[in-house]
Amino acid sequence: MSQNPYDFSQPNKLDKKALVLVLGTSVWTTMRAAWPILILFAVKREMYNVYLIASVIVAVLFTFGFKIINYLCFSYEVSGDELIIRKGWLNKSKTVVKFDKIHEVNLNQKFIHKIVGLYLVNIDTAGSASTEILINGIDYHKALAFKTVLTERVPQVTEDVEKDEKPPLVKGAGEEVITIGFSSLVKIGLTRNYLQTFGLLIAFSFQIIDQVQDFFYDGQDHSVYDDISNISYRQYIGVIGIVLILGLMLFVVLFNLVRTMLTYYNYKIVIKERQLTVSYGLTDSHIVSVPSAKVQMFQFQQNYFQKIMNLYEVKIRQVESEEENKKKKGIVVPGANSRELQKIFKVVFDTDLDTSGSYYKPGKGVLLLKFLWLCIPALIALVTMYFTDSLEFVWLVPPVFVFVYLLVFIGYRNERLVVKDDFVILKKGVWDLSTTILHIDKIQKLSLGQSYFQEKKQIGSLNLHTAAGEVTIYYYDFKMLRQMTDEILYKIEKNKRSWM
Amino acid sequence: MFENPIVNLDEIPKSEEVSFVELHHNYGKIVKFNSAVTFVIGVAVAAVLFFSVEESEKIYGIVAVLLLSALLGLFPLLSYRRKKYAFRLHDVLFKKGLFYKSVHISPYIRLQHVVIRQSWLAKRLGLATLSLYTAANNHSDISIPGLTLEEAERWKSFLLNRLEDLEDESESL
Repeated sequence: MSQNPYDFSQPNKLDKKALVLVLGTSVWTTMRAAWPILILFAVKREMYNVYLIASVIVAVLFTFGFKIINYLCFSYEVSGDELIIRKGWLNKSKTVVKFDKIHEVNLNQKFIHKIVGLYLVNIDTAGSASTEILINGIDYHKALAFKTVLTERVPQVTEDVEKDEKPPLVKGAGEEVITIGFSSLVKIGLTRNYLQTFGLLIAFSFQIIDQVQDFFYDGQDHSVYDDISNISYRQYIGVIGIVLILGLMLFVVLFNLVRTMLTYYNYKIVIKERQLTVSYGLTDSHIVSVPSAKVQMFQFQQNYFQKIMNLYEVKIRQVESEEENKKKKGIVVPGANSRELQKIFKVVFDTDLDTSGSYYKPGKGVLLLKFLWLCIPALIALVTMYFTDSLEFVWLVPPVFVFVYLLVFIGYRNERLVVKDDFVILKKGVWDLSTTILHIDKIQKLSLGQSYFQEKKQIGSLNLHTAAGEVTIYYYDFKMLRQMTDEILYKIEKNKRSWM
Repeated sequence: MFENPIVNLDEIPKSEEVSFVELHHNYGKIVKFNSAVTFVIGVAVAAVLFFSVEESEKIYGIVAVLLLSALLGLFPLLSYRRKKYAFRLHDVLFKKGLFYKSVHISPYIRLQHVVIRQSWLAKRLGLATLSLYTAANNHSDISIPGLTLEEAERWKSFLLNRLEDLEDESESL
């Protein structure tokens, strides 16, 4: 790192402007927590109380004092292949992290960070969630340099042996940039997350129907409803229903679009050597980089509309620990065309993406099984209708049943399992067709199982557990699964490659 | 010297042919005790319901609680004999299940740490549970109960030694 203008071998303090950040955040959180009380004070003048106000001020000063001390006592430095974080004034703490334990360095910017122009550096380490390290307040160039120091040394240490012959001149030339333009983002926003949109739609419509009814009845006996129902009750309900549903659909699609635009604004992927660096965001910016060796699972999905537009949503999943599951880990590329998908795949796995070839299908019995499972809710619906005297809706049950079963059938038709070289590839889905690609070396544990009924049919299921979740291969030929298990184990144990 | 002999598919070891070891017979005592506790709790809850609730429909609740606790107590009694384990040179296998039979396999090279646990009853009987943790992020790690403490400790040191060997080998690759 000769061109690096920053010296990380000495203890580094946070940027001066970071103090604004720290205090601003604490003001913001207290305000958010205390605004009802503040409003109460503002409205009811007689609630003024000298002691109360004084104690509030003292508390605020104390917190500020603590924050300032914490800020002053925080330092970070790099010594050898270790990152050292020092914290605390009276209770000093020193955290030492080896570089090879770091698997993700992210730069994030909340709105307040944008104002002062600083970044929050988020360092994820192997191990439990509590070992996550935050450095709040580094300016952009320094943060980038810091990230490079932390992430680039990792692969170089381990790959030194193989890379001896390769001249390092590939470095600069190998950099490639994929950007997602404005028009692509619009397309993506309009087509992705239909299921989520549908869920939102249902949730919203229930609430709005509630609201509308409240509005019409208005707590009085005489309602607007009565007047209208005198004129043409049925027609009115039909029209308003259609308008409402169409409006909601439009609203939710637009909402989705805006959300996609805001989150993924200015999306850029930089591919350098075998590392992906992704930056995006309008109000909150994120810069995430992932070395390819740390990728645990590769997924991409596409629905019918996206297929027409040659768009894929790509998910690159990393180690997910239980406590952090709320936070989304890894990288999501909202829209990439097939060429870009190929390129990303190539960076991650160093081979070409190829999901074709001979495939396995789940046993046909799964269709019967799911048919039987579907009968349960149908029966429950019929029974409740019978007991609640609403048998006039019985005609609804068969179409819904057929519709859901059709979805199940489409799902069955789409599902296929390809085992190729060192990859397990599982395609499934009804509307969003997702393809999960799992490298055999990333598998931590295998569970092979079959139920009492499956035993007779020679059917079973296989769970492949990885650090980024599990892949379930359900209802396939048991003999094939058994062979697959043995082969996977053989490869893992023979090659002895590390999983990250 | 680099060698690359041809591998026949039949040479890939078959997990099917592994002979499994059964758990220590004293483990049955722990299971029976736990089942008894479950059933006693069920009876206690049923008794509380019987004396504290006035409505005559309480009988359904009581029957449900009793049935549930009986099932929860009975199931481990029937299934514990199905728990079997095997250690191979490169991986550990653990078999279980009554209606849903499953084999869990963990290659040693993916193990993160190995822990021995003992409940108070197990301690009295001289038994221990050996838990093998991987980086997989759910509670699906292999735990082998019903080993004697000595066995558990010996297996643990075997595993740790294997792990070290494998790591050395993988680094020298």
